[in-house]
Amino acid sequence: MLIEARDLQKIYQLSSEVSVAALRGVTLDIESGEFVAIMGQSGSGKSTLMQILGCLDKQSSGSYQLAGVDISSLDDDSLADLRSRKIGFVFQQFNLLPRMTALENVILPLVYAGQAQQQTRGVAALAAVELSDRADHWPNQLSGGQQQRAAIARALVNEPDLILADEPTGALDTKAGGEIMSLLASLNEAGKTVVLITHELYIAQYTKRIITIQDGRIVNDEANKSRKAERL
Amino acid sequence: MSLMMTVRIALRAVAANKVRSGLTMLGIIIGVGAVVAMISIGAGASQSVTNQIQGLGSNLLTVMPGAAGSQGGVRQALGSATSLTTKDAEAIKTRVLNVVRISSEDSGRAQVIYQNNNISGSINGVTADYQKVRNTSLAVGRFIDASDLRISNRVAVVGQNIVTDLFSGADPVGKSIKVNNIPFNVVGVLASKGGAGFNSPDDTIFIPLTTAQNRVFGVDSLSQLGVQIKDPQSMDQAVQDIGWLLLSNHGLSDPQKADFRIMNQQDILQTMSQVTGTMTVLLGGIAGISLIVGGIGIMNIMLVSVTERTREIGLRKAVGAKRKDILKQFLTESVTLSLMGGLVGILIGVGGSRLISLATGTATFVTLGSVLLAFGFSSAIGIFFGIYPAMRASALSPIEALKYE
Ligand SMILES: Nc1ncnc2c1ncn2[C@@H]1O[C@H](COP(=O)(O)OP(=O)(O)OP(=O)(O)O)[C@@H](O)[C@H]1O
Ligand SMILES: [Mg+2]
Repeated sequence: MLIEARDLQKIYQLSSEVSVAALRGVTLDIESGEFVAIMGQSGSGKSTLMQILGCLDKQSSGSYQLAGVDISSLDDDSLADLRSRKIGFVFQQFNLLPRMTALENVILPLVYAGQAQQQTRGVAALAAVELSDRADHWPNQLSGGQQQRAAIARALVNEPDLILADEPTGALDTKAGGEIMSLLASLNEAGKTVVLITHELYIAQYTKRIITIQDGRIVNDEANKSRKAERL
Repeated sequence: MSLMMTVRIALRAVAANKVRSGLTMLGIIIGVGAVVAMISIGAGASQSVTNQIQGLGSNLLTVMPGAAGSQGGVRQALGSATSLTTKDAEAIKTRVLNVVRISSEDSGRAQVIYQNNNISGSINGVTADYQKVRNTSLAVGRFIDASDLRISNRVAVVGQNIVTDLFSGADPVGKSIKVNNIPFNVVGVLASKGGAGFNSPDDTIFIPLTTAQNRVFGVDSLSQLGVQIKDPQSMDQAVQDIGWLLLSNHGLSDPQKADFRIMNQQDILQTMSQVTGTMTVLLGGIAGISLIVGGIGIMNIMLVSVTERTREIGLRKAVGAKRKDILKQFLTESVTLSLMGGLVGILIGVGGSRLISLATGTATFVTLGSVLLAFGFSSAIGIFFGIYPAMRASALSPIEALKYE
């Protein structure tokens, strides 16, 4: 089991009196090689769940194991290390660093993980997202779709166990969004575990399993039977 | 992350905001420039004092006529009284222990003419021992010798500045000059002593003591005695011995009423060099304050930069940057700023000290020490004032940072 979450709670303490329960007991298993969409209304707790699954934050209670490792026992730097080896992130706002070329952005996780053959692996990751000819471009010289593809290359470069994408198509038009989803689907075909958050049903239709969250709880979790194979 | 990569990222961040980085560096540039220039002024002063000490001659006591205290009538200016005579010099030479040689001198100002040039020159009547006692050497020609003194010869030896001022730089040996309308034949030129000392030999025309007393000034008193003592340990005893001897020769019993003064010039100059040392520290310290102000400027801009780049920090952490990676990145950036400022500041400080010495004529001396100090100080400032912003950056939580707009 890649992800094993048991009764996850997340409470944001805003002041001594006011607190927000963003997650109210989420139990979730995701196996290696799955392609999962998490859906739900704004404020339902999707991003909060994603942050915990991505080891960016810790739960208030409950337990979470990523690839058999209990993350609640790890300190900040160990979490950073874990992220750089096991998880690739894709964000709605791409989050490419403006003063670095596409290639330099892509190899950033390798740099922090202190890994060898950074250039070669970076070039390969860019090739996998069909962006080889843009390696030396600055982010502001790329279209939104291209930027998101570079961001996916960055998420891929460390050969992570898990790719987490928080509304990866949220800032793109339908066509570019479709391209990104095809790319994620093909990565999943190649064996990567992909978990993404989306508001839109047609995006979720690309995935194999759809989890719906409401008010910090999972209200629905089923295989996507209506998945359209021709989209691939 | 390798150091080279960290530095490259820092340079890019600095270059991304050229105007802002430039203005931030300006504080350090001014601070370092001021430190280097100020220390060079102080070091220049120390250097010229040291030169003077070395130029004085070793183990030298100076005896001057004039009252030591101011009680009992009008106090006369040192050197203007007539209480010191050749007899005193003879007595000191024969009766005080450890006296090696004595230079009896009679100095004053007189009108000096060479062709159309006319200056008010400093004239010093000296004996042949002057050269050894005062540690001066000749550039060309000969010095005044015993036979000149015997016959009150009208010969003159001139200092380097006289060559420039009176002879417009031409070789004066063999030329005839007039001192108070008495013709003198120039027979030698002294080597330069340098330094802007009091009564510098560079500014003086030397003539035989006897000629000065008999023909030029018309008095047989002395304005100064240079007494060379055998070794430094005997100096204090010699001061006492000379004091008692002169008191008794002048028929005085109360040391308070002494009509002469004995000075150990090396003591004076050593005090002066302490003063210039203090001055250097003081000037450097004041300039150092501007360095600190510059450092605060760096801290300010680094804090702005951390805020501006919150999302960047969040992203870096999300993809695996540890606390120390972020800390290193921002520290490198602030050190880059301060070191670049420091380098430019050193150049400006060196240039500035040249300008100061050209404009004011005072000696300045850029020491390697002051350059290293400025360099070390500016990197220290980069670290000191960069550490707080860098700590703030490294402590950011990745999710909060990624949410930041
Ligand atoms: N740092 C925080 N401090 C306080 N409350 C927070 C914080 N982050 C999230 N919340 C609250 O937790 C709840 C869940 O937020 P979350 O961001 O997970 O929603 P979401 O499902 O991702 O919504 P959206 O679709 O709009 O992105 C919301 O009520 C939100 O206000
Ligand atoms: Mg969200």
